[in-house]
Amino acid sequence: MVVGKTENTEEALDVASPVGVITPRTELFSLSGVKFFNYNWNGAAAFKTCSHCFHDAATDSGGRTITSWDLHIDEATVTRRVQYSTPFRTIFFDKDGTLTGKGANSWFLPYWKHLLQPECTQEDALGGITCDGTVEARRVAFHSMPSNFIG
Amino acid sequence: MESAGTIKDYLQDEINYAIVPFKVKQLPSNAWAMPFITNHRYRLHWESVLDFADMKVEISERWVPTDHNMHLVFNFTEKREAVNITSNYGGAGGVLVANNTLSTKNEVDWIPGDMQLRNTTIEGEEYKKEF
Repeated sequence: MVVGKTENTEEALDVASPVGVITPRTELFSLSGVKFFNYNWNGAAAFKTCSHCFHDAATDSGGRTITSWDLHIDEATVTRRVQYSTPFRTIFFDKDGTLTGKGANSWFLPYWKHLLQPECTQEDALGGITCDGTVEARRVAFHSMPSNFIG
Repeated sequence: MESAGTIKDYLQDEINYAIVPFKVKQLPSNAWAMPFITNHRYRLHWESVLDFADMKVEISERWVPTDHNMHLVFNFTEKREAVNITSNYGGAGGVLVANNTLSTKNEVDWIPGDMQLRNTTIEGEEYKKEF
């Protein structure tokens, strides 16, 4: 069980935007059986993405996939599901819909215009885009252009 | 996404499309890595309108054979002697994918890299004039 704050909170926490779980910058991380309560102020969220990817010296190109199932996210006290951070590309694969509310094999994604396909819904309050289980969300990377192309 | 008006009108309104920042960092470095939704077609081009001479496309290790297909459309503006797509990054064991495999093969037989080259020179020139 992950709790954002209790009645015994303090000012430093109230001005922060805490998160329950920070996901890794690698593939194959999975999470299940976790309950989230009291993340409903100042952009607090159940998840934050891509641990330390903001760091200049060591980061990742992003777009890694996190798998989750059997989550309990308290609707009354957890507004935002995901607080996306640099590089804003993490993919959540929700095996049973307990993260997205869109049923088995659904997806939670960062907001990018090209991801707003008919199977997907922009969910600003939740922190991203949700897609149903009729499609897949996959990472594709384009790289190794000649140096004169990328300057 | 379709929009009324010219290509220039479309491109000048950034609400119509996603702009993906270039990333210098790792795995892979000097790359654009992005999520895409399968079963759709995406038109990609670079803001500078430069053509790339070589490019590698890294597909997620999470891809499985039962995934839906995804089409990527790239333009080229400068003349090209050939447009080649090769598996395995063009390295050892890489196979050159023949042109028109998207139209000559059954969809169930498609593999990553199957392609169709459309050499629409006039449209390309008109496209350049828009800028």
